[in-house]
Amino acid sequence: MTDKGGELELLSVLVDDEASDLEVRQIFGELEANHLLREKWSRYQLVSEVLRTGRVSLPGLDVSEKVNYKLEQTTKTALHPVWSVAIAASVTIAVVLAGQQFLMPPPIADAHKLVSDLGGEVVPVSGAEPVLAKFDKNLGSILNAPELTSPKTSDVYKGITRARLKLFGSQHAAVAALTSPTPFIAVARTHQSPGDKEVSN
Amino acid sequence: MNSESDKALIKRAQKGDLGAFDLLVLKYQGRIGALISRYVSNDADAEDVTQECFIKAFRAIGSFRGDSAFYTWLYRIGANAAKNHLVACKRRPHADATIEDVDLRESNYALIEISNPESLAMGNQLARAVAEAMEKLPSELKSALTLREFEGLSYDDIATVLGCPVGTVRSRIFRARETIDEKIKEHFGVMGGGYDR
Repeated sequence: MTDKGGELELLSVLVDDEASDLEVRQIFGELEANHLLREKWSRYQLVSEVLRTGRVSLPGLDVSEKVNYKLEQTTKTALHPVWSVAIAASVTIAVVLAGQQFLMPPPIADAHKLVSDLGGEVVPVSGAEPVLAKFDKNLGSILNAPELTSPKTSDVYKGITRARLKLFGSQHAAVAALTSPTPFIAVARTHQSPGDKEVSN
Repeated sequence: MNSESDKALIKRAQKGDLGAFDLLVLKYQGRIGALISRYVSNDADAEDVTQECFIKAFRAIGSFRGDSAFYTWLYRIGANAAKNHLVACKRRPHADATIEDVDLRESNYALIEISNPESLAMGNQLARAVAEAMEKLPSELKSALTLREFEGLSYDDIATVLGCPVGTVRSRIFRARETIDEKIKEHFGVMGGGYDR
């Protein structure tokens, strides 16, 4: 032990609480560096107790290390809330983003196959996805009703359909020429599922 | 007169200085441990309650105003900690002592403690060694230390009584303590160790 007289005298003065603020700072600096000063402090206190009371209480008891350890742990935990809040916020953001990704519909890998395999381009529209169009089963049963599928009735409806298609087509071409470079689509095609009954045109 | 003033240490501890509080623990752990031992007979439990007392004290030290001696304030925390432990264990305090009966006067802190023979023997040996060393001190050193420890006078007052500068008082008290400390180290070697009952 390298006992410096000045340090020990300061320790003795601290025992009597007679140290100035500067001396207190000095001795605490020394205490941090020299653990033996702490033991010296303990012995000074024992001597003081014996002189004042004639006895000493439980000289073998030492809870100081455990108390110091627990208080240090508490202090470290108290400093952590700043980091805990930051981590919690990051986790929350990550969960929210992951949840949004989970709830969003999957992107359509290849839109063309859903619309037609007969040729022609599908013009992609941002935010929209191709919809597989087919007749509702019930509607199909109505359209296949005998009174509608008889040759006479069928011919009439075919005629009406052709005329309307021609009319709508010319109207669309006129508008498209003025507003859009998109090629005019002469016919509308739909994907026909194997189970669907063909609707004659 | 209360010769135990811990203002400098308390002030630092109130600012969160664990080193300062550590010195307070070293100073009072024996007495608080002895108090708690009166109510908590189990060795391990008594040590745990003593630790708990000091931990609570650190957390509450901001509320210590200095109206009473720090030891008195600490004593109340220790007594409550012992009481709470007994309540938790659903045991009644010893019939011959209740916490309310405890006299908090400074001179009465030396309670009849329930301790093991080894601890008592160590304490008696230490007391004898200190008394012998004190007797062998040079008169000027003995006078200064006596006025400080037995009479509780401040350095200024001791300087007035002895007719010497305050610096001389400081030096004499320090040299007296060092002389006694050397005798103690011869007797016991390294102080401290476990709490064995």
